[in-house]
Amino acid sequence: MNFLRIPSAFHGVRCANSQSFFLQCFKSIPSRIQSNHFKCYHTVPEIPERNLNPLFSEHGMKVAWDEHQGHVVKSLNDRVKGTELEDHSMFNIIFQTAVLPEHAATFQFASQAYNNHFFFESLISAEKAKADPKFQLEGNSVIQQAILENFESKEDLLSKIKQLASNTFGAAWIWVVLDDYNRLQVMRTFQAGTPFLWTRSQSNDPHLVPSVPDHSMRPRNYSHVPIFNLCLWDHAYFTDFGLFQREQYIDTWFQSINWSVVENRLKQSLV
Amino acid sequence: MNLQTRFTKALDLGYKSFLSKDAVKTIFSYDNRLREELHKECKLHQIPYKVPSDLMVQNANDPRKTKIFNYSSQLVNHDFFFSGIIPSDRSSEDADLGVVNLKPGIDASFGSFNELRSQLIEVGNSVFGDGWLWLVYSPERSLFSLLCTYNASNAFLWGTEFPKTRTKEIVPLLCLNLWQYSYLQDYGINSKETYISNWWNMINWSVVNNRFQASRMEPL
Repeated sequence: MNFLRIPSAFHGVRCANSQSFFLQCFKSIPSRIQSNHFKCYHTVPEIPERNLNPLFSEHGMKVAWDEHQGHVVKSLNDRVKGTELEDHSMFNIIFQTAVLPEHAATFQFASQAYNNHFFFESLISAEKAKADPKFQLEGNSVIQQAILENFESKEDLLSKIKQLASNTFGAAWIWVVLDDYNRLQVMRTFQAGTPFLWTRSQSNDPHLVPSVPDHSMRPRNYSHVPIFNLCLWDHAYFTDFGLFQREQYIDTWFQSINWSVVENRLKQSLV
Repeated sequence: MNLQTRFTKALDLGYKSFLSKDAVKTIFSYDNRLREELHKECKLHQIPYKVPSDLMVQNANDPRKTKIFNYSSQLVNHDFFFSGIIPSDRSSEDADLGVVNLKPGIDASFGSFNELRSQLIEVGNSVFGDGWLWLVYSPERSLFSLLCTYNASNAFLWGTEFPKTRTKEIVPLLCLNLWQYSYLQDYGINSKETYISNWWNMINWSVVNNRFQASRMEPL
C-alpha cells in the first residue's frame, strides 16, 4: 500500500489528540503509554466554507452536513468504542473493517463520514468561485491539464458525470479518481462504498452483478485514489432542488467546486 | 394505475400520524414522474408499454434496460407500500381481524407481534441508504421473515436469479419505503426509527392476511 499517494485531505474526521497526520497514517497498532491512554473520539470537523449558496441553503447545509454527519459520526463512535479500532484514524478503520462482514455497519459509517467530509471540503460558494481565479479551474494548472488530457474539456467531464448520474438509481457517490497509471476516471459507488478498495466499491447495481466474481478484472490489490466527488444521496438535493431536479443540482455543484483544493489533492497523489 | 386514483383520499387527508399531506404529495408526484420517465424509456428502447410489474419482470438482469427495470420496480414497490397502509378515511377494524388470523403464523416465526415490531424497527434502522423492508412468507418452510432490499430491488424477484442457496419462492406480504424522500419531509434525516414505529400503527393487517391466505390456496 503506497501511503504517499493518499491525498492529505483525507483526514476526514479529526481525533481528539494532536498527533500529526503522518504519524496517524503509518500507525497500525495504537500506542499505549502507561498512564496516557489517548482516545480517538471522532468529531464533526469544521469545513472551510459554510456558505454554499445556491448549492446548499442554510437549511440544506444543516440537513446534509450537521445532522447527517453528526449522526454518522456518533454511530461510528458508538460502534468503535471499547474495541481495538477505538484509537485508529478514520482511514485505518475503513480499511480494516472493509472485508469483515460482522463489521459491515462500522464500515458504512466510517466510509460515509469520510465521503461526506471529502465532498464538503471541496466546495465553495459559486460567487466566490467566479470572483477569484485561484478557485477556478483555469487558475490551477495541474488539475486543468489532467482534465484536458483525460477528457476533451471541462464540459466533457461534466457530461460524463451527468451520464453516469442519470444511470444511477438510489443513494450513491460519483467520484473522479486517479488510477495507477495516473489517469483520471469517473466512477460511482452506491450507498457508502469507497473507491479505495475493490471489494467495497459497491459500484454495481446489485441486479447486474454476475453470480461468479470476475477476478481477471482486478489487477491490483487496491483501487483508486479519489480526487473529488459528488453526493447523490436524496438528502443533498431534496431540500433545495427537488427530487427530479438532479441535473440542476449537478450543474450548480460543478460551479461550486473549489479547484484549488482539488489541485492540492491531485498534486499530492501524483507520484 | 395512478397512485392518486387508487388511493383517493390520501392526498387530501394524508395518513394520520404517519405521513402528512405534503409528504404524500411529494411521493405521489415522484411516482407520476417515474411513470412518465418509464414511458419515455420504453419508447427509446421500442418496447411496448405494459403494466409496471410485467415490465419489471421482463427487464430484470438486462444491463441495457436498467432504467426500465429500476423505474418499473419502484412503481410496483410504491403501490405495494401504500396498499398496506390503513386509509385515513377507514377505521382499523378490518385490520384487527387480520391480526387474529395471522397471529399463529407470526407467533411461530417471531414469538409475538411485539417482537416483530422491534425487529422491524431494528432492521429498518440498519438499512444504510435507500431501500425497502419486506415482510415475506416462505411456503416451503411455513415461516414469516423480514427481508431488506436496496435501491429499487424488491422481494418479488428474490428467488429467481440469485444462487440456489436462496429460497426459490417467497411471497411478499408487506413492504416499507425506506428511501430518504419518504421520511425526510416529516421526520428529518435522523428519525427513521420514529417513522418506522409510526408506520407500524398504520399497517393494514387485513391486506397482509389476504395475501397470506392467497398464497396458501391450491391453484385451480
